[in-house]
Formats: sequence, structure tokens, C-alpha cells
Amino acid sequence: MTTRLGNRRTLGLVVLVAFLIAFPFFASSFWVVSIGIKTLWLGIAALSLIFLAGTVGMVSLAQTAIYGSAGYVVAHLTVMQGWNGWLAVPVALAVAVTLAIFVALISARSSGIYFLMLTLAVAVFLYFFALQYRPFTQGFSGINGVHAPDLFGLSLRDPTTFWFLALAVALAAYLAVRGVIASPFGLTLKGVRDSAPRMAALGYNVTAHRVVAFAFAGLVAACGGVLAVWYNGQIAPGSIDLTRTIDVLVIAVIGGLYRLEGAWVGALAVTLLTNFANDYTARFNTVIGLIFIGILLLSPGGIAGIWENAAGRIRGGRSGRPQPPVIEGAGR
Amino acid sequence: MGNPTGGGARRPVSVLLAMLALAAAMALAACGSSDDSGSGDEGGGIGGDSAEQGGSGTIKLGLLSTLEGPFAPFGEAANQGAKVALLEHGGKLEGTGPRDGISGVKVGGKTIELVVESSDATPDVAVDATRRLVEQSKVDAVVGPLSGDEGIAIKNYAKQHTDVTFVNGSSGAQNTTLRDPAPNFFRFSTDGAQWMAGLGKYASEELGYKTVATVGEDYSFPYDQVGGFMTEFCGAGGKVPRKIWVPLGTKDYASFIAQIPKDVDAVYVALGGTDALNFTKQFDEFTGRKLPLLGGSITVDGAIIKGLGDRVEGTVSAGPVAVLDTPEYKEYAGALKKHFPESGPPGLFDLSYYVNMKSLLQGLDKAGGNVSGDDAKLREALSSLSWTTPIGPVKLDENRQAIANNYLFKVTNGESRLLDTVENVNQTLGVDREKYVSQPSFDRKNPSCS
Repeated sequence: MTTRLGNRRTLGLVVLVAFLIAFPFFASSFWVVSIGIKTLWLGIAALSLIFLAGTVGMVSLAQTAIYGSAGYVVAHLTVMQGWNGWLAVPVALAVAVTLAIFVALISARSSGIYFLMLTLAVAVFLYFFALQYRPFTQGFSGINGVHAPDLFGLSLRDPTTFWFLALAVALAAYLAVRGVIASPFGLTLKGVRDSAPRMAALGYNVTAHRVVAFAFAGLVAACGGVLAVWYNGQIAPGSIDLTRTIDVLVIAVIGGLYRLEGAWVGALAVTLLTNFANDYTARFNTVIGLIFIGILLLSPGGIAGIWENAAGRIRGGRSGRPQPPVIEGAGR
Repeated sequence: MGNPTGGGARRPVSVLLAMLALAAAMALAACGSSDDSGSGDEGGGIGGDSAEQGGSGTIKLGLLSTLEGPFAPFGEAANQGAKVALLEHGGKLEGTGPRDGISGVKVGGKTIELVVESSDATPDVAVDATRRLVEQSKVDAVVGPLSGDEGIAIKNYAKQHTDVTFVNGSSGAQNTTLRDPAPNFFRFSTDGAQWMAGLGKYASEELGYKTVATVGEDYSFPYDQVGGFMTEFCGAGGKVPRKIWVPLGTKDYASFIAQIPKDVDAVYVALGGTDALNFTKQFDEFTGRKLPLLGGSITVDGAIIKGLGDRVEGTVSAGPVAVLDTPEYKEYAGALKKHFPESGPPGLFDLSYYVNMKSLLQGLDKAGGNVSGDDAKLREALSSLSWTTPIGPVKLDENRQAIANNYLFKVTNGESRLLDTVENVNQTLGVDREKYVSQPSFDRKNPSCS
């Protein structure tokens, strides 16, 4: 039984990897760029939220602001200061992580709706900062003409090259988050999620754990932000406004808040919907909204959850309806 | 159970399968070639394939406007304007909705196929929508976008896709064409600074104002408007001691009003709709003086005249769209009302899209529907095109930017009436081009003549 499952798992993995490698060679550039690459970077942003919500029990609305800050730093340094793109990336990641730590220090002591509101305040604050602090952000119009730098002599303007970079970053982010969750630190985080008072009583510094987890999620989101600014070629306050913030939350929920892979499943679903639903209806935002509500009602585990539910029933196994993740810190 | 990694070997299989199912759906739909991208050196973002053109008997046109978000009503009007141009070329509406197509349009012996896309007025979404038009629908030409910052982003995208021809919709950011233009981006409508032509001179020479303070919303369109006004006003010897920028949607103007110097002759207001109304009311209460106002292109409308009555009597403003007593205007206004009975009177958005779409169709006609290669014939035809639009004659300068009329208005007897016509306004507002381009772009600080 275990071997068979193991075999199927390996087979599935091989097919997926083969597909992802072959994808840019048979798909048109529209599919590689507008669907594939966009799914990858949106997924990375959603991954940071799924990690926070699923493992630590912090539903953060600040992830867009954090990835936007990384994007803004890259755009500012390369376009306005003329830096080399690769030099700007570590600075951007550092700024984003610093911001994440700062946000966490303010908000990590709260939980539930208070945490949600505090991170929402950060998102709105950064939006207005981008809108009004013109010397750094160029205000409403944003920073245009951001180039992705060359990688080992290969131009990242080429969709195939960029696809593989985005794929590598997505994979690295996925493995890193998995690794953190599997580590003793990750186990502690789950303990904090399930019962913060008990962990505190056991002698753990709950706030410090939350801050570190938030900073780590900020780093993941920032990687997505750098890819996003290269993908868009520009960044403006509209790139980090409330609509975009909610998009990331929707992606995480549609994909499934309790599975890391769900980030990309959700990102792909939303990207496909926004690209193709408006061929059939002028109200595609309504379609996305209805699907969102449907998933919340029918499968709190998202699209991945629907599949598992069905597969579980066919196999007759015990894994019936997946349970929703615990997203609020239990007690104070 | 409720954690991302737990659950043993079963879950990963299922999730992998779920991802594969989605991936397979992607692969099925993604049937296209992966040719080398036609990306140039300039612009931002990533390259991608564009149209494989020529040969076939159809020409695909993309129409990009804003059908979502706060600008959605403007986008609907814009699409109506663009469709009136297509209807004049023998088209038939497939429906009256903004996203409905149009059939039966023939240009240069070829059939036009219209693809409608929309954004929410943010540059990111506008570029995504353009990608869909160019790389997925493989259109030969794009008409759009609607707002200024989208225009800058689309220009940068256009630089990477030199085999597609882009014609503006109603976006009016000056730098779309003034600085660092794209060789395949054409704009048959005037920009936000050109829309002020005549006002600065009139304020200085006819009204005799020596000093004027400006108040505008803090984003690119009012920067261009204030810049256009100041280019003339300062050029005629006027002074602007203070430029005040308020965030979009400000309700309480007290702190801004306090910054306005007491000795100015008038206040130039580049605020939209109700913002202008609120500002003026608070200004009068705060200062107790009814200083004369000068209006931007979207400041003086029916609502503000109704809301302020006599207070705005005599207020002068400027803009590119006027009710004209010409056959072209009457024909257009009649056609708009006939095909879209729900539409309002002709306005900035529908007219801009109409003029640009109509220009593109005439260009295609002149080029015999030839859009093969780099669209050389079409671009030549567009560059040399000159015709009389419902709002006056238009032709292009060397940056493919419109030279067209601008209009001055004065509120008389509770109505904003045409006061004067400024003919053939060019993008540098009559200033020497080199001198004009070498000055910094219009922003909060520039220009300055305090």
C-alpha cells in the first residue's frame, strides 16, 4: 500500500516536473507570460499568506504591502538611481524583511480580527505612502521602465528564461517554507497557533516566534514582489492597492489555506478566471466572487480540498471533508 | 489535520493530481508556437510574441478602455465613441453593451474583427489586458487606453512590440508622446497640457490677472493641466506664488486654503466634479472673499454650476471638446444618439475614442488594409493623415502627437458657453520644442514662476 502510493506520488511528481520544464517550449508566449509567470509570482505571494495563516494562525493583509515594498525598492534603485538589478535585489529583500519585522513588532501581540485590522492598516498606509512620497515612488504614476537584468548572459526579457527563473524561485520558496514547517521551530509555531497560552506556560516566547515567522513570510513575499515588478515592468500605487491585497487573500482561500501547493492552484485558477471569464461575461468579478463564496461554503480546503474530498470518498478512506485551518490564535 | 504538511503520503498525491489536472487544462488551451520574442531594447517588463500578420482577409483591432472600477462609466462612453467610427464604416452592432462586438466593417477590402478588452484604470491591469490583445488575440492594432498613467505603461509596452500599431484612446499624459516616444504609438487627441491652451494668455491679457494661486489634485493629470496653464500664464508675465496639491477625494480643504496667499488675483482650480464644489464653498466661507476662479478641463461642469449658481458666473475654463456648429459635429452627435439612445451628449471620452478609431480606420483605408511586416504603409498613412473631426481639424507632429484646436469657455447665464477657439495647438504650446522638452517634466514643483 505504502509503496504503491509512493510510486504514484513519484510518478505524479515526474509528470509535473516534466510538464513545467516543457511548458515554455510548447506554449505560446501569452500562456508562458500572462498565465504561467503571473501564476508563479502570485503564488509566491499567496504562499507567504498560507504559511502565516495555516501554520502560525496569523491572517495577514500586509503581504501585498510587503511584496510591494520590495518591488518599489527594486524599481527605485534600478530606474531612478541606475543601480545594477542584481545589486538592488538583496537591498529590496532586506528592506521588505525589515518592514515585516516592524509590522510584526506592532501587531504580533494581537490576534484574530485585531491582527487583521492592524495588518490592513499597514496595507493602506503603504498605499498612501506610495501615492504621496514622490521623491521615492514618483507618486500616482509610479515608476516606469523597470528592466529585469541579465542572468549569466541570458536576457530575462525572454519569456522562457524568465519562466525558469520564476519557477526556480517558486520551488525554492516552497521548499524553504516546507523546511521551516517541518523543523522544530515549525512545530513550535503550530503550538503557538493551537494554544498560545499553553506555549507561553511551557516557557516559549510566543511573540518572538510570531515575529520571526512573520519576517520569514515577508522574505517569501518579497521574492514574489521582485518577480512581479520585473514582470509588470513598472510599479504604481495601483499595484498594491486594496483590490490587490484582497486578490492575494482570495487566491489563498480558493487554493486552500491548509496546503502550501494550494497557493499556486489558487493563483492559476484566479489568473485563468481573470483572463478568460471576460470572454463570456462582462461581470467576471461577480463570477470570481461567486466561486469564492462557493468554495467557502462547500470546501473550506479550497480547490485542493475539493479534489482530496472526492479522492478520499472514491478510495473509501477516512479522509473525508478536510477541516478548515485554525486561523485565529486560540485565546490570548 | 489542519496543517500544511501533515497527513502522510495521501495528500501530496491528490494535490499533485489536482495541479496536474489544472496544468493539463492549461496545456490543452495553450496551443501556439514559441517563436523568438520580438522584444526591443526599451520599455520594461518581459517580451512576448505578437501578431502573425498579413495574408488573411481580416484585420483584428483591439479596443482597450476602462470598464471596471471608478472610471467604468467613462469606459462605456469611450466604447460607444469608438463604435460610432466603426459604424460609419459599414458596421452593424451585435449588441448595445460596452463589450459587444461589431460586424461587417470593411476597410481596404478586408473585414475588421473587433476584440474588446478592459482595465480598471491601473497601469498593471492595462498592460495585462494589452498583452491579451496582442499576444493571445493577435490583434494587428490597438486603440486605447483611457487614462494617463495607463498610456505611459502602454507606450512602454508598445516599444517591445514594434509589429503592432497602437493608437491612443483618451489618455492625455504629456510624456506618452512628448519625451521618449514609441515609434508605433499614435495619438490623434491632445494632451492634458494642450487642453489648457489659451487660458493662461486670456487670464493675463484679457482679465489682467498678475498673480494666480493654483489648486490641483495630487496626480499626473492635474500636474499637466497646471503646467499647461503656467506655461502660458508665466510666459505672458504672470506669477504663481503658490501651487497647492490636495490628495484625491479630500473633503476638508481648510489647511490647504490657509496656504493660499491673500493678495492673489484669482485661484486656478484643477479639481474634478464635487471636489471643486466643496473647495469653492469652503474657500468662500474661510476667506470671506469671492475671488475669481479659473477652471481646468474637468472642473466646470453642470453639477458645479448648479451647486454654486452665481458664484461661478463668468468663470473661464479651457478644454478640447466643445459643442460646435459644424456639419461634422452635428453628424457625430446625431449618430451617437441614434445608435446609443442611452448615451449623454458628446463628451471628452467618446469623442477622443471616436477620433482615434476613425483616424486608424482612415489610415487602414489609405494603406489598402496592408498590415504586413512592420505596418510601414499603415504608419506612413497615419503620420500624414489630416482630417476634420467633430471638434475641429487634426494632424500629427513628428512625435505622432495631435495638433488640434482647443476651446475657451465662460460661464454665462448659468451655462458654460464657448468663448473662443485656439487653433492648431501643438504639444509645446507654441514654445520652442527643444527648450520645452529640456525643461523638467511637469510635477508638483515644475514649472515654477513665483
